[in-house]
Amino acid sequence: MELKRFRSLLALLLLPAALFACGGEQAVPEASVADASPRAGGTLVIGSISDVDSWNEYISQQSFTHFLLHRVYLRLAEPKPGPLDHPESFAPSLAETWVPSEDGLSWTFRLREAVWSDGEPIDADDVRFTWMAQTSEHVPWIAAASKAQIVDVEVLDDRTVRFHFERAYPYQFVDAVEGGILPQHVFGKVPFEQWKDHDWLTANVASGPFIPAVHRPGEQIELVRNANYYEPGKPYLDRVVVRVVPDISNLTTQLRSGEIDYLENIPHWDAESLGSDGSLEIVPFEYANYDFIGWNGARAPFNDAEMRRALTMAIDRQALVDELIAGHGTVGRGPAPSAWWGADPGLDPLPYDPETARGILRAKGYSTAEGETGETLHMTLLTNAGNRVREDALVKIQAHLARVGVEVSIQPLEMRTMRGQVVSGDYDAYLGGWVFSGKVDLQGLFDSAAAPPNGMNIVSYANPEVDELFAQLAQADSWESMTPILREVQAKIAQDQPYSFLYEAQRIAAHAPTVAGVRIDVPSDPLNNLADYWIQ
Amino acid sequence: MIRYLLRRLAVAVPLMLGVATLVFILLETAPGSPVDRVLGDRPVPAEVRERIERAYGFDRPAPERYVRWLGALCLRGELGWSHSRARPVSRAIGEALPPTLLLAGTAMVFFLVAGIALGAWSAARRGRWQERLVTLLSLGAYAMPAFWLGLMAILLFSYRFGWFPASSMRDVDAASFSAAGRLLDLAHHLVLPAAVLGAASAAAMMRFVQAGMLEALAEPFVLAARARGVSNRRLLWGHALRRAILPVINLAGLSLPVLVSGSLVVEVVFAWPGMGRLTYDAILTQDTGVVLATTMLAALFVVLGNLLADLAMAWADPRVRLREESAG
Repeated sequence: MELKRFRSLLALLLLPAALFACGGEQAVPEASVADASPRAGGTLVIGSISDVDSWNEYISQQSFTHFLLHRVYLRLAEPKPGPLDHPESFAPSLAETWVPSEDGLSWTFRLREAVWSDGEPIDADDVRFTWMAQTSEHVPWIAAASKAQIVDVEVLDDRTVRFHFERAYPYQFVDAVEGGILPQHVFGKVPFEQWKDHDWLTANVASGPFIPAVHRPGEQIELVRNANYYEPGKPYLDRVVVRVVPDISNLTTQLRSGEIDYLENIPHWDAESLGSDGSLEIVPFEYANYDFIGWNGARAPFNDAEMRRALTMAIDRQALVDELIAGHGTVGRGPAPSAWWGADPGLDPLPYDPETARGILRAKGYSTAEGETGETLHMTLLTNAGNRVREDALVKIQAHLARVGVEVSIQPLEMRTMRGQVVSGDYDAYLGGWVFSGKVDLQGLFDSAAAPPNGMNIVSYANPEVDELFAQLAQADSWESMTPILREVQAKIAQDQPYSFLYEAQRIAAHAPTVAGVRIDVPSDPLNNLADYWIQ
Repeated sequence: MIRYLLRRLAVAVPLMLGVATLVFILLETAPGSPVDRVLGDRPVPAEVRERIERAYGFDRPAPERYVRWLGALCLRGELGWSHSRARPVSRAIGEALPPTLLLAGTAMVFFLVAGIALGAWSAARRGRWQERLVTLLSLGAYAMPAFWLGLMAILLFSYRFGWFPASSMRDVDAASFSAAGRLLDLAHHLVLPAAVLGAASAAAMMRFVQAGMLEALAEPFVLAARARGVSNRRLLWGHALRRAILPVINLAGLSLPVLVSGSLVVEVVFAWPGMGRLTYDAILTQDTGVVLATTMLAALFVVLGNLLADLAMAWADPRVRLREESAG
């Protein structure tokens, strides 16, 4: 080829690279000097991977939908920052005051004077109706178990309602306020058996700061300001728009370019780059969750607690925190998430100690290095495909365990396939996680009676002492009496390591500097303060 | 002609049902319950999980669920309820189909125009650097996966230059635009996804046209026309292209179902609210009714695409007659 033509071709081929390198980025307008006073008006554009699957909290199975619906249908009391699941940790919402009975078998709530967005009064009949819906066999509510101990909801007058319980127990208040209150005059027109097949966007009513107005599935959701919201002057925003985009890379690009203002859950590895030039505010927040390795307690050698401790000590969990979630988290300590009132702050994680791990493995008859006597431990480690952090974790854990002579075959599987295999007991170990919303039920996860198919004790963990402690916990009549039992439970489970508690990850939100008032202080409800957000 | 059309369309019915049955079987072989995917990492008591499964009928045997679905479809024309979209399946499809047709149609126009023009242009410059460059670029466009091409297009044209929006079909405030404004906004959002969707097909089309043109240009009738003094431009566009265009018509018809089904990746990358997105979300949530309905629709598009190609061929080439007419 002639030299001149070659140069022309080369220039053309290099043009795309030049285009990428040059060209200004979209200028993200920097906010002027922060205005301390909230300003009414404006639209907040939120990016979300998830769409709303139903505008009825008791039909929806999506977490993000619930975050939005909590701004539409308020609860009797809302969680406030600080320890969860404790009466003092709830602020008045639809209920102004509440008082327990002397015998500990009921709670009486006094509703505030408030109206629905259509002007109808919010009254005690709405509360009773909601309880009937929550406990209906036809309504597939995820948190239905929270109402199991409530035998009746009695209407005393228009604004007074009393919850009657089967027995006295500390979680009564939490269970009573779980779930948004629905308007009987709207939702009552549809029989419960038809609820799951009904388009609830047509309800067009709210008690919270926002009313759902538009829903274009797979595209956009719009909520508009509820002028009848009981807090005067709020919400500040006129409109909240949710752009549904199923690709996180696209969402972070839109956040950078200013097409969206707020993203609630950005990848950990993007946090530093997104916040590096100051054009975006990065907001890490606590989220009650942890990732773990679940060891098959019904299969040797993973049914040996000492063996499980050795394998845990062989994994450098701090390195996982640093390398997988960019340091936005902490090493897992035990079975309770740190963002829960019942977690034991004095419980230390098992140390990273490969030498001790090797000693235990050798004592069990396994070789920990080439040339050593003993058999090599071979195992398969599963996880759900599509979760980038967990897939990367598989590779790192494989390397960590290889240092102590354990040969790990890693196998990412589709979520349902993995779950099917784990529930059937056909696995060595799997890498998964728990996300807790509100109440943390350790008994449902660790009691031997909760092994499949009866419960969520998927690893078939069994410790009679722990079972006995759970029995005592179930009979506890106060938060104070629960605390020492909970700590003992956590200590024993941490000692047994039915799971290797790997890490607790923070979640990270990011927003444009024009969005003010952002505060994420309730781990189970990242949009808890949406009514306080405003546009500068 | 009418009988011919009806006979061809009648094939669609058993095809659609057969495809839907096969898809149902495939969905049912997936282990676990659809509830697992939805609940994810949330620990939910067994009795609540069972209640959710009962409410949605996931606890019923697969044959029973299939018979119920088939009965509702054949007896009442109902496609069922979409639990992932909280609306009837028919409505979900009715909302998703127009955006897909718009995207696929625009991509088709793009790849036809670009493919034919570039193919003819490069054929006229055989052996020169322009032909080699176009060939190289078309191979690149054909080889690049659509999702990668889409993400690069967003990075370059949305983020770097800010020329086009990165996702969706319309602006956040499109409802407040005038009619003309909404149309322009739609066109603005359409450019990137349509170009990405049509890129691979344009590359294939270019190669087809290029080869057809080169063959046609070597024919004696072209030499004869040149000897008669016909200009190069008229030779190229008036004589050779007409000859080369016939297989293109076939290809275009067959491309329609490919575009519709291939739009899934592009729709996910660009958050285009079409059938691809609907199917993708339905598969993830095992929204069986939606998956079956979209699959049947894809089968229908295959039949229609083939039929359109045959009709177009018969119109374009007088030597081609539909079987019915020649038999009659």
